[in-house]
Amino acid sequence: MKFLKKFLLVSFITGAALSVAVAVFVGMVLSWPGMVVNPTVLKWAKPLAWRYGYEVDWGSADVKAASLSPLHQRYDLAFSDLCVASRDKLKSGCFRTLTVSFEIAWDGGLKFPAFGPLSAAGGTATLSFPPSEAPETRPAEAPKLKIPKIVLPGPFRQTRFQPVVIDVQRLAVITEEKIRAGGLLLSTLPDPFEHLGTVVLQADLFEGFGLESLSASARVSSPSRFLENDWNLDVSADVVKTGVLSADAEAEIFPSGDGSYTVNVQATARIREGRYRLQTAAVLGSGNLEGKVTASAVGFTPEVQGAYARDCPYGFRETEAGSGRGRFRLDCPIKVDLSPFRLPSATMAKLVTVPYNLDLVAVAELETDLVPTPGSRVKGTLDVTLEPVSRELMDARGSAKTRFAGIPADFPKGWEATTDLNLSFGVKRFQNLVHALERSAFAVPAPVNALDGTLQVDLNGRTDLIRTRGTFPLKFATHLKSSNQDFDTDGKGELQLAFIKRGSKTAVDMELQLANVKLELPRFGLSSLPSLFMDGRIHVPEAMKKQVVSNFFEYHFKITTPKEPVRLVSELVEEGLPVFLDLDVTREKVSGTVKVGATNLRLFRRTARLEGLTVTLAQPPAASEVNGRVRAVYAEYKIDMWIQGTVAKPHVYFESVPPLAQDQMVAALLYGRPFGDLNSTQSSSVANTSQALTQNSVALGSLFLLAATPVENVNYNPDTGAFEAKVRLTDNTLLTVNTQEQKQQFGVRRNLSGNWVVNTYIENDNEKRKQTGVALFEWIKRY
Amino acid sequence: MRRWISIFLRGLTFLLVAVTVSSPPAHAWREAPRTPKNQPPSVEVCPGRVTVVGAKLFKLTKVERSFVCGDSGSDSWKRVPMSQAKYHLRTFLQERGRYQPEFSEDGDRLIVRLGPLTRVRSWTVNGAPKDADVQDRRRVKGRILTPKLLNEIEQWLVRRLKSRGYPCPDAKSKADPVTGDVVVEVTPGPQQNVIAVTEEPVLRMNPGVPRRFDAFKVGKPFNDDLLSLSADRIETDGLLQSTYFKTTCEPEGAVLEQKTFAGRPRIVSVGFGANTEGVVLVKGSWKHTRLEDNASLFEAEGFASYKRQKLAVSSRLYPFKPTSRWHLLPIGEIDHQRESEFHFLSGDVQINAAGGWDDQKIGFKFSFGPDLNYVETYRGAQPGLTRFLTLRSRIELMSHYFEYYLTRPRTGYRASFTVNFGNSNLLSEVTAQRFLLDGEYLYNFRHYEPPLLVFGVRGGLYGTFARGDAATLAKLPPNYRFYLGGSPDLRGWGRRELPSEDGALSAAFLSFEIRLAELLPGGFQPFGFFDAGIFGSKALRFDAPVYYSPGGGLRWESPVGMIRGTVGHGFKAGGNQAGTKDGHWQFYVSFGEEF
Repeated sequence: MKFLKKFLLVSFITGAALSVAVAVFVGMVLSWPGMVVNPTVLKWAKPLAWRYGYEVDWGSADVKAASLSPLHQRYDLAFSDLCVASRDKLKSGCFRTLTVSFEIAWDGGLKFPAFGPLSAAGGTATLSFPPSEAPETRPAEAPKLKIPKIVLPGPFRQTRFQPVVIDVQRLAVITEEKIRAGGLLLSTLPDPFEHLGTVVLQADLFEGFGLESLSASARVSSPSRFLENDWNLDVSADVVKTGVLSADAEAEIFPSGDGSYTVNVQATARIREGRYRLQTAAVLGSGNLEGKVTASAVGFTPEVQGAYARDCPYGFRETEAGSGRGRFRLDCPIKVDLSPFRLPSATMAKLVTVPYNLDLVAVAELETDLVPTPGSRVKGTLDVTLEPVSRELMDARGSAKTRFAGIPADFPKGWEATTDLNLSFGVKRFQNLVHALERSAFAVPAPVNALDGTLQVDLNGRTDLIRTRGTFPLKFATHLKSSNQDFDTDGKGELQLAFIKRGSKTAVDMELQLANVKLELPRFGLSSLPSLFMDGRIHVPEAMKKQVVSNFFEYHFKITTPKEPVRLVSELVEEGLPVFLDLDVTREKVSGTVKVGATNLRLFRRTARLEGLTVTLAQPPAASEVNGRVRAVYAEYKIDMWIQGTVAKPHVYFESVPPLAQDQMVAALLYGRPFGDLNSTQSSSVANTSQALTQNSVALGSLFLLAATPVENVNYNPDTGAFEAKVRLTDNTLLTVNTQEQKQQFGVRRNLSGNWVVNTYIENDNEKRKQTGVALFEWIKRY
Repeated sequence: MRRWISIFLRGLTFLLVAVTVSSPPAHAWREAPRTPKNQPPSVEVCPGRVTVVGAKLFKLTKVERSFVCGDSGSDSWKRVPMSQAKYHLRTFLQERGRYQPEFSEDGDRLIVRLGPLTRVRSWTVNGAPKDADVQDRRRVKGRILTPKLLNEIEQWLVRRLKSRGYPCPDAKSKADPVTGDVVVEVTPGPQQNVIAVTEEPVLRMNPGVPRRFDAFKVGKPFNDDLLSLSADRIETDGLLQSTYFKTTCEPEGAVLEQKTFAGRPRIVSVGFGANTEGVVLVKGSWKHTRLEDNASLFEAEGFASYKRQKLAVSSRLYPFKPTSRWHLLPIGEIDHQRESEFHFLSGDVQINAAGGWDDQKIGFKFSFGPDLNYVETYRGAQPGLTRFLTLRSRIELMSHYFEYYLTRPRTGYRASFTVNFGNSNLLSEVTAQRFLLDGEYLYNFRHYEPPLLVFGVRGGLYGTFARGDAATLAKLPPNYRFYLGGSPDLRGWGRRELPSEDGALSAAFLSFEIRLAELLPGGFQPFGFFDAGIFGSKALRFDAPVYYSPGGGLRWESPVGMIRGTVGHGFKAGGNQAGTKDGHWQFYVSFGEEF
């Protein structure tokens, strides 16, 4: 017991002594805090940081601690070259100088009666992310938009704030791909009463973003000096990339009571030629978002002047409280202004009425997160309806409803997107279109511009945007007519839009059936047909290459004449020349066949039967293969003219029943008489024609022209390949068809008419040694 | 007086032809613009719609105007939109060598500035074999670049290759319209020999007859020029109305198929005109070109002018196989000539054996046989009737290219040698032997194509061997005496002016000519010449003076034939010039005549 008492006594005395000692120590520390808060003690504390995985070091430290009262102390710290680094050195930061002052007191609780000034200058920081630290690819959980309440915590509510400036001149984030770097400046601007008034954060990103400049600033202020949740956050950002991008945005967020927040955003951007503007005001409540948006896009494509949406309501409502996921809905009238066609004068602009202004209504509904992320699934519909447009030039109406679902980050994998398209463009009077385009670069050429009627283009049907890459069913129909022409066509095909797949081109693939087409050929007049196409041999090589590069629109037309042939009307054929087409037309080439059907035509002064002529198109067009037969029936015999070879150099030969000599057949064809009955000019023409045909020197066009008209005479120079035929169109009119205008050899005998010739020759008289030039007008006949 | 009439007629012929050929169509002046002062010239292509500015003369053909201006006569082509007019104009301007036109619009009017003319700056031929000698071609650089010029270049290359043994060549060109650079890719194909010739049969004519005219040999290298020459020979002869060769390239060589247009065998012709001797003439002939299956010929020809009347009957009889060129050549001829130096009537009967031969470069023809000649001389020698029976032989050699370019002389050579042997013991009244040797050589400077300079040399050596006594000389007919002067030999002297009215028993001349060919526009070719000649009173013995004549002239290839004008001055040098003709200026205008 005694021992117990003794033990208790000793313990009491010891405890009392210790308490006194502690009290004395605490009293000393509270009275002289510099005893424990000094550079030496801080130096001893460095290993403590290491224990927590960091390394802290500084060049010099100056610590002042003063006790304003036993429970109220003030500290003034100053460091130079203060650096902190993680143990693996992947994260590190330094400040050249750091000074901070604060007061700490106990007044019913821990409080900071004063904070600041704080100045951290010359800061640098590096954050390195080795590949192993790449973010995981698994879909993240849908983030929830939770705007925090911004109020000063209890220890700081009565704090007297002095200016705070933290300047990080370079903050670098190093990843495997690149280094991104920028600067940060955080500052507070206390009011004259030393309350925390405004906090400003400025950031400039200057490396690794491919931009000339990217700067952003956030400014948070509070009327109650952050004693209540009445803050106002203003954010602004500017981005510049010379010649490509220039954008700025301003956003304002502030609490609007009832736990909701008001968000106002204004943004403008200029991306290349396009100018974009967005303005929205929304109220973000608990699990819902309601707002209106006004947006415009101008100049983003030459065909469209601009697209405008004004006060479009949109909203988001959580489907499950607190989940952050809900349904988004947008109902927006959109006005699209098309670029006017280039008209040469104001007068034309008055005459031409084009539906330049399209009114669309877009309604979108989708299931998504309130804060959409690439990894979160979206699902919804987009209805775009074109308000019916009726103008003098054309009508347009239609709608498109698109259903889609998928994860944006995985696009197009796993996506479903189908569109029901019902779009229709119609030209009520083709002549209006002809007049409208007449002075433009896209004028309808003659003879089609003489036609009148309707033209209809329909995009109608359902398409799978993902699997068919934006292919829309397309219909095309014309019902055009003029006094002696028809142009009724019916086409079905697909339109593939380029924006669906990156790098792809907008393309049209169509089967065009020429149901009833009759076109008039020009009158050839009194001279030979001029060249209607640029000579492919003469071109600038660089220009050709540029053209190829600039092609962004691909097309493939399969043109057929399933029912009626195309009929070509000409003064040179008795009836319309029936032409059956089976063509594949692409930007690069035209292939397929052109068949001229059986018809009667004028062949060398008499009616003959074209049994058929097929041209198999090739590149170049002059190399196209031709195969045809014309039959001329005479009282005593039938003559077949076979045309084979290429268009430029057809090989023409003759067969007859009963068999006749070549000269007899050509004579019969050219003049309808036996060779022996011909005069000198005619028989010479027969020989020349035969030689030119045999040597493939008459192009198909010239042959057609030659065969269709009465032949006066034919000259052919086998040395130069020059072929010239004079055909009599009327009693007083001669047409010259030639393969080469420039003659290289003068003949000494020139046919005049009938049997008359001019004959010049040299008469050598060896006996009398005389050389005499003679010019004779001579009448010659073989019999 | 007669000379002035002659000059007048020649000049009239020249003027008629020149005016007829060179008159431009009336509409060429109709569209000449009328431009106010201080304004750029302009041409209204389509009144009120299309105006060409900056050009004094611009013309579209009527059908071109339809495509640009529209055709009021066709409902469908009445309106041609401006963009289509631009397109067609751009195409039509290409035909005129303008590839950079500028278009602008002034209200409803299209203003066209034609832009610069593109001329060929350089041209390159790739793939041509060395023996094609494409560097011979000139007149490409500097010319206006048009599709027709490319055609011309391609066709020339094909022709050139066809004449160098490549029967199936091809040439494709391309050109840069801005720089004027032209590149031609040539595919010569194989160099081949002719391995076979077939011909279309002609009714009542043996196969093989056309082979008599061949200027080529089977088994020798192909040459398309020789095919043309062979066909020309047949047509000129009248055997067939027309013929040509079709060539097929087989692996073994070139196969020729001769296409024939026989025509009727009988040819009758009647004509009137003028010749360079300055006389109006009428001419008629009748001939049968295929008398029998071997295509023997019979011809009767009459000719009449103020100075000369002639009636000739001749025949070519082919007794051997159809391809044989051996034939009999009977000729009967009555000739009446009235010249300033002589006046005679002659009757001539010949029976010749004749033949010929060709290889790849030259053709050779010969004939020989008796020639019975009666001459009734009224003036110029001893008047009265003279009878000759001579053995006449003639050999003629001509290079193929001389013959090929006969109407456009530029290269080749020819020579002929004619000799007559007569003896008083054999039906002749005098013993006299005559020979005529003449020749010509043309050189195309550096083988340019078309030629730039053509050098020509021609000469003749003539002689009559006869006794020099007065009786013999008096009986010698005019064609046994030799004269020089005129466009065939000494162009600075009058026609047949030298040495005197009596002529000479020997004569020789040498002419040089240099011609600037195909350089000046319009087909005009200036030339200079120097001719020299000499005479002798005995065969092959010549006496001074030497007559010579420098001069110059102009040649024009008109569409109806060759017209040449020369001016020269006659001179003489050496020897005893007493009694000889004095030199003077001499002008000639000739038609159809060549050096």
